[in-house]
Amino acid sequence: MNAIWSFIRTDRRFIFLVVAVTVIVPVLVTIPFPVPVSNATRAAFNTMEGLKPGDAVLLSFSYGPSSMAEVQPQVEAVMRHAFRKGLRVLTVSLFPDAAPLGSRALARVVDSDEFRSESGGSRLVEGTDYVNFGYRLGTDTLIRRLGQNIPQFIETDVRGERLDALPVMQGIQNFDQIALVVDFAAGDSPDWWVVDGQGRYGVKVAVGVTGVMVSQQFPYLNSGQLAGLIGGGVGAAEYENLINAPATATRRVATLAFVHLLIIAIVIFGNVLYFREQRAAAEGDPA
Amino acid sequence: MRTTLPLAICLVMGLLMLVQWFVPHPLSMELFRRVNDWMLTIGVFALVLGIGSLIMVHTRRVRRQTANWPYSVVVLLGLVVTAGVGFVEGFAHPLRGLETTQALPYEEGTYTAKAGTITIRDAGVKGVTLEKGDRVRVLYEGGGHTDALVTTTVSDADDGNTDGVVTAAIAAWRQGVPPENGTAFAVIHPGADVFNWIYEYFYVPLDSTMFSILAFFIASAAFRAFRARNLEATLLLLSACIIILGLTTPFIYVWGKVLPMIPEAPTAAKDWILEVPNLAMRRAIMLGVGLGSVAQAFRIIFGIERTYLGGGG
Amino acid sequence: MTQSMSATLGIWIAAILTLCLYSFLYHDNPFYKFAEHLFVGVSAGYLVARQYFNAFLPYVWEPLKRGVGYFSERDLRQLTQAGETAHAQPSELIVVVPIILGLLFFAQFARGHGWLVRIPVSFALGASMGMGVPVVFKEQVYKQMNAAIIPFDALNGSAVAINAIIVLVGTIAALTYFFFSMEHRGAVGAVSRVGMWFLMIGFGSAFGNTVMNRVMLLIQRVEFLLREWLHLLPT
Repeated sequence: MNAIWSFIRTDRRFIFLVVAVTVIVPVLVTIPFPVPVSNATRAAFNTMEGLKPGDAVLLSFSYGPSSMAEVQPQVEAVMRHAFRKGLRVLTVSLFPDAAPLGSRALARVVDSDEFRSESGGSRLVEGTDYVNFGYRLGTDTLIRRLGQNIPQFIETDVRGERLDALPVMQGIQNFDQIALVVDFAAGDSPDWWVVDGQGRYGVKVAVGVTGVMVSQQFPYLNSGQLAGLIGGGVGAAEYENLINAPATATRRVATLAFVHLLIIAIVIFGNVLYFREQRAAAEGDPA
Repeated sequence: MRTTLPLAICLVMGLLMLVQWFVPHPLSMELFRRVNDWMLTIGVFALVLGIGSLIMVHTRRVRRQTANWPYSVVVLLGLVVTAGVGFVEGFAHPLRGLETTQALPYEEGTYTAKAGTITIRDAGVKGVTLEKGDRVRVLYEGGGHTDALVTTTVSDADDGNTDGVVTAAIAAWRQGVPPENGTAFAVIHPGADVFNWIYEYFYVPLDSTMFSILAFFIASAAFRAFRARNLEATLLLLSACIIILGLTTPFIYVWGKVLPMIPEAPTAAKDWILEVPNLAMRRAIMLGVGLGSVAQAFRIIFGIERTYLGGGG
Repeated sequence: MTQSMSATLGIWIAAILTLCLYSFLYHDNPFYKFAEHLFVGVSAGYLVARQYFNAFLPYVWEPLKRGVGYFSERDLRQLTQAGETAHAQPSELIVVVPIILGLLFFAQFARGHGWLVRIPVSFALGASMGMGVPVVFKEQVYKQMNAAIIPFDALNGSAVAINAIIVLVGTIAALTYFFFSMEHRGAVGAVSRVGMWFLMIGFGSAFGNTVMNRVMLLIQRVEFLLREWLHLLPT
């Protein structure tokens, strides 16, 4: 028995194998459970829900493939909610590897059954219901310039069409006409949006972030500088739950649960071993 | 001069932009716009440096045949092929650059097809441009289609209004025969498909897999290093466990069945940890970082902090 | 190559690269190194192409073109649509100034002139520091201090007020922990210790959320391998 514990302790590949099995089996046999909603996600949902048809919402993509597992479902859920409410959706990517992911999310939601017209195509029309600015260099500098004058700075959308000719951009000059910015982030962009977007121009900001960044956003959420926070993959599942459209995140959260339980078990097991060793060392050394 | 000039520039720009915040005059706004635009332009060249440095490092390794030099060949090949494909496809589509092929079906509009032109009418083509190289596809009712290539760039607004009517000059129809006038067509804007294929099947799997490996190491670290050695470590562990359990849906479900009088307790505990003690420490860190950033900014502006000048200053 | 053939080939390539990277979990090996270096090259190449079309053209080339009055067919069409006439805008040539500043980055390769790199760095750093001071102070200091105190507006023993007290105590204690100008002894030491407790709870919550983040990435890759590659899951 001691040899087995010794092996487990020294060769971490055993733990890797256990983690792999714990992920693969639930993925093959998904058992969905209800997803309770946290206060932060509910705040984001309520903010979006409070907007009126025709209001403009700017979705900012600041993530990449290394975070798409958590953030992409957030993007699709929020987009779906925005289109359902008849909002004008503007999208911009702050990083080059975010642009195709943002375009993919737009295509998936716009072409989904929910928005299909009688003739078979989508009833959402690019240029009329939504516009994609694509990727623009600049990060926080870009935010400062957008806040001054969007059509003058960006000029054309991702198709090369002039913004001032698009119905969706009617009356939109800068952040004064943007009801809400939702930033989907894997890095520092929530700070840029709060400091430059809200600090300079007073635009309302909500964020969807990866799990790593969730705990860092709470000062902004508590002070009202953020109107909502969708935290990680579970946050995405909560939002899907709120809009009654369970999808990718809800499915993944079921698998996540088993790995969570494994991690808890590993922590408890490791500590049991540790305290046993401590006690054995103390008993073996009476002095 | 070598030190004085940069310090003077930093001082002037720093004070100018600091004062600009307090001055709402249009000239001040124009200064703000101009400086930000210049920073974007300068930023383009900084990017070139970064890539240039990567190329130089790996080229040197290949030339000197240092240890693991074949992997540097892999880096350089990956860079050259990806960038090369991007440039070729981006230049081929000046209007849309590196976007993927867009196929837009118009099944409620009408088209009038002739030997050398096609006129399409649909609300969806209002303000749209058909670029040279785009295709117009006519869809037959029973299935099947025929295509024609657009030979001259034309836009809905060329005739002075965006009425959703575009007449495009086209190359020959398939089999040389124009289709009957009809009501279903599609406009296909070809895009940088190979470039986006590389993104989809090389970049995405490599980037996402690289970070997913950390899941295994987190589990390993949880076993080897997470010990409740003292009060502080115990607090960390307990907090982590409450958060993890609060994100574990089967646990919350079972809890709700076993203790129905407090069904929301795991979620409430997780939220409390995040909204109270976590908030406190994050706020402290944010205050410290904020004050430190402001202090450091003044040190840089007034030339007290000079490490950004590099050596020899 | 048809679309489905290219997609199938792509999926196989993606799956093989994924497994190459995961092979590191067993042992560092040439397959892992190959995939790792390929990632560096492809991501750099992707960045180069993107930045040319989305950064260099709009921020350097287009202003220069407008300045000298060179308009492509597409530019002429868009100007006509906007009701504008195509004429040179010499004021746009001011872009030459930041272009020269940007080119100074390359001075580091000229012997004896490396110091010129400091000029664009000072410009950008000075400007961003100056722009940042008021907004950072407002958003990350003033508003946070305000938020720490505002809940005491309604001190009536409710749960909200108790949490507000805990947050304020924790914030002050954690700030004390990071205050190194005073020795952490006596009362300061005790407050600093309390601050450490709050820090540990916060780091624990960060770890808990980080586990979710990493595992979700792993789940996504496993789903890809089982669904798109091996077809063991429905699409």
